[in-house]
Amino acid sequence: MEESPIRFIPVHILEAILSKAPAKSVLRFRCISKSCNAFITSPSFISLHIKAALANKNTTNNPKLVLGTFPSFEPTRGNHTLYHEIDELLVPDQKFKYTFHDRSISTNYVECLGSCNGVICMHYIDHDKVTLWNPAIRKSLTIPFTEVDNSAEHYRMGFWFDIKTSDYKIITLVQANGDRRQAPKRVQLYELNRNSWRSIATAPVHINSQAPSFLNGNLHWFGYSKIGSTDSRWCNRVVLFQVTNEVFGDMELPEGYLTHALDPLHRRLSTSMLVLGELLSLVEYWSTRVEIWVMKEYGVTESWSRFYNISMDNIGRVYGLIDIRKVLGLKLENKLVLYEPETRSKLLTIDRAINAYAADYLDTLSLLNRT
Amino acid sequence: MASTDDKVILKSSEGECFEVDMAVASHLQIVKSVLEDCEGSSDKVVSLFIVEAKYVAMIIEYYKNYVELKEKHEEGGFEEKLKEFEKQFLEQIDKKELKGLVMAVNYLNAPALFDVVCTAIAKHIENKSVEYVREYFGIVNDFTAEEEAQIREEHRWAYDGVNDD
Repeated sequence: MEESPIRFIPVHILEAILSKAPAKSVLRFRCISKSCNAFITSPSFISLHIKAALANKNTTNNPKLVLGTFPSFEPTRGNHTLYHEIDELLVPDQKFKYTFHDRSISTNYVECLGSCNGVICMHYIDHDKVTLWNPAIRKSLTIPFTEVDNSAEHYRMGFWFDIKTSDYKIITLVQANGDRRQAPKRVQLYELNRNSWRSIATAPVHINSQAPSFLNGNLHWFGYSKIGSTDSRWCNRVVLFQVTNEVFGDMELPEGYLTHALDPLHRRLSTSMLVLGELLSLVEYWSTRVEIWVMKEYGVTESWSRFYNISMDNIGRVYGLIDIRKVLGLKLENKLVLYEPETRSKLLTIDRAINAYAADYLDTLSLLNRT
Repeated sequence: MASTDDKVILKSSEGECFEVDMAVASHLQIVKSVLEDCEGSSDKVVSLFIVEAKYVAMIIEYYKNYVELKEKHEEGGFEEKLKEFEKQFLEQIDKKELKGLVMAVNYLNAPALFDVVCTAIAKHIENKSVEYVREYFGIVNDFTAEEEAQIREEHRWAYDGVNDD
C-alpha cells in the first residue's frame, strides 16, 4: 500500500518533537514557517524545551559544565571557554564549541555567580558588569547595574532561577567597608522579566565570601549573622537567603569551627561555599592546605563532616567538584587543574587560566525571547 | 487463561481487526474512554477510523512488550529493559513511517509511546536542513525571501554542519 501523504502536521506534535531536539537545531528550524517561528520563540515552548532537557539529564549521565576563564587577549579561547565534556579539556587546540568573546572587558577579576537552565551568570568585578549568557544559543544580555559607591562600600551578589515566576533573579547586598559586624546598607533584587531592580528588607547578616551556592531554594554564603544567636551577638555562620520568601536566615558552621582557628600553627585565610553533588559544602583555605566540608543532611549541624583535606601544593583555589571525586581548581602560576584527592593524582593541567566554574549543564533555549 | 472479557477488538481504517488484551489496550487513552462510554455493552469493538493497520500493529507490539517487561521486572530494571526494547523497536520503522506513527499515537493518546516516537523523530531531523524538514513534515514555507533571510541572519552559525543524507 502506498504511504498516505501527511498534508498537515498539528502544531502541538511539532512542538513535542522539537522540544526534544538540541537548541542549535531548533534555532535553525525557526525559518521553516511563520507558525514554527512563532511557537519556537514563545515562552511556553522555551519552558517545554527546558523540561525535556531536565528529563533527559536525569536519564543520562549528568553532563557537566566546566567554564574556563582566560585573559581576554587569547584569540582562540576568548574570555571564557565552556568545556562540555571533561575530555574536551584535554584537547589543547581544538575549535571550541562555546566561547565568549568580548574585547571590551578584561577577565582579570571575574566570578561566576551560578548557572540555571543553561544560563550562566558572570560578574566582571572590575567593570561592575553582570551578564547572563546562554552558550547553547550564543546569546548574552548585560544586566543594568545597581548603583554602588565604590569608595565607601562593596557588594556581594547571587543568581538563581525562580521556578514560581519563571524568572531569572539577581540579589545584591551593599555592605559598608570596614566593619564586619554590620547589616547591609541596602539589599537590591533584580528581575529579568521586569528588567529592573527593587529594594527588599535588609537583615542582621554580613557576607564574607564570593559567589553563593544555591541549594534547596536557598542561597548560601559564608559570613556573620546574629539572626539565630540567643544573646544577639554576631557569630560566624552560613548566611542564607530564602529566594521564595525573600528573607534571610542562617545555619551553624561545623562544630568547633572557631576553636580550630585559634591554633597558632595553622592560620585560616578564607572560607567559601560550594555545592558538592547535592550537598552543601564549605571550603576552608588554610595557610598550607584546603579543607572541604560537607553537610551530609541539609540543615543538621551535627552532619557536617570533613570530606577532603588537600595540600596547597596541589590546589590553591577550589572551583567545584566533578562527579564528587575530582576537584577543579587553580594552582599557582594560573594553572587550571583537575585533581583527584583519593589517588592524589592530577588528571590534567591547563595553562594561563584565571578562573573556572563547574556545574551541571543544560542545552536550552533560555534567553531566546529576552532582549 | 484470560477470559474473553479481558479482550478488546481494535479495528483499523481498512477494517482489519486486532484482538488485544485489555491490559495492553488500556494504555491507549482513546480505547479506555470509548469503553467507559459504552460500559455494559457486550460489543467490545473499537473503531480507530483514521489509523492504518500497520500502525495499529506497531502500537500493539510496543505496549505488549511494555506490559510484559513491566510484569517481569517488577523488582527493578524495567526502565533499562524498556530502553533496550525501544531501540530494537525503532530500528524496524523507517523514517516515513515514524511520521505516520506519531500521528497515530497522538490520535490514540498513548503518552509513553508518543514520547519515544517524538524523540526518535527529533534525533532524525537534528542535523537536517530546513528544506529537508519542511519536505519531511509537508510544511509550506510562508516566509518571503527577505523575511527568511533575516531570520537566518540571526543565527548563521546554526546552519553549519547540516547533513541531509
